[in-house]
Amino acid sequence: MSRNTIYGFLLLLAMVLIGVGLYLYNKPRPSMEQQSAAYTVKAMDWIEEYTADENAANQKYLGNVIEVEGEIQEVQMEKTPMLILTGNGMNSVQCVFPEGYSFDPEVKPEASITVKGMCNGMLLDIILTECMIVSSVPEEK
Amino acid sequence: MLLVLVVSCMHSFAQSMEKQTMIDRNGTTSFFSVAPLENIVAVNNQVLAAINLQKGTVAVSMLMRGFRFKKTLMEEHFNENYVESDKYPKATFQGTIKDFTLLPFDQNGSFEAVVEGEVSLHGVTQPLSTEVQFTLTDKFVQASTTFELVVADFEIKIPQLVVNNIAKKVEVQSRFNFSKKK
Repeated sequence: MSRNTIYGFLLLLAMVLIGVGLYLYNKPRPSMEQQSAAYTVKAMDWIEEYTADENAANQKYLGNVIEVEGEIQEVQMEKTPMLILTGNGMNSVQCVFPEGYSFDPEVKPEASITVKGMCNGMLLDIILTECMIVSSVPEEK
Repeated sequence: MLLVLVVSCMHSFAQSMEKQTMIDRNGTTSFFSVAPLENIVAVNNQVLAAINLQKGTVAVSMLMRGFRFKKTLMEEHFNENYVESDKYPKATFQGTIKDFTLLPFDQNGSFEAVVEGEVSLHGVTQPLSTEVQFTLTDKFVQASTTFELVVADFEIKIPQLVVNNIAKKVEVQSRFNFSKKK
């Protein structure tokens, strides 16, 4: 093998490694649409489960994609687009949407909704991020 | 005369209502670290904070997985290798406002105060004292602060390979807005 072939091979290898490195470094956030939910829950039941045993709930849900069904209590657009799902008065579910997300007009308080997102855990509210709307039913009941 | 008495009674009643615990469910905490390759910035917009203007106490709680980085890879490393978010999902702070009774919390305006307490992160608790800028209006109480944390104080291990790429200290900024309406 000539010296040039070896250099050529090494150069190719270096380029591939740099390419893979750059790809990993700039890896985009996986979109919620491509991920299926590990669990499907109802907002009220989920809050109850979390408040009963937070550690156990964290082990089950933390870092997983969860589909949650509930009633919209509040729509917020201040810092980031966000929906608050009705809970027990003290605790609720905060669904945080990606920046720039805009809600359809039917997404308003008292409407039923199903949201998919990544579970971050619970403070006063259970927090779901990277959310997307799976389906919404305007003002049921 | 009686009217004045009634009015002043109502006024003090309204004030004592205001002095209950106020909560911000969407506070912001970000941290910043200078690195040779790229500066690292992460923001958490779902920080829970409570302030009690009767006792002068402050409590803050946040989820580690709530920090958003520019690069997904940084976020993965942060959660999995550094702060171990699944094992230690929260960071908390509990403290008191120093010289609380001497400070003008009963009127509108802007001033600085020292808050002293303990911060818990990655299963380790350390003392923290920081200067907080308070702004009071009729509608809200705003609080913001900046302080530094030493990564090694919290037993966060940084692999030898990248030890030069990650600063030993990170600058933390927090901002809260407590609404007076309830």
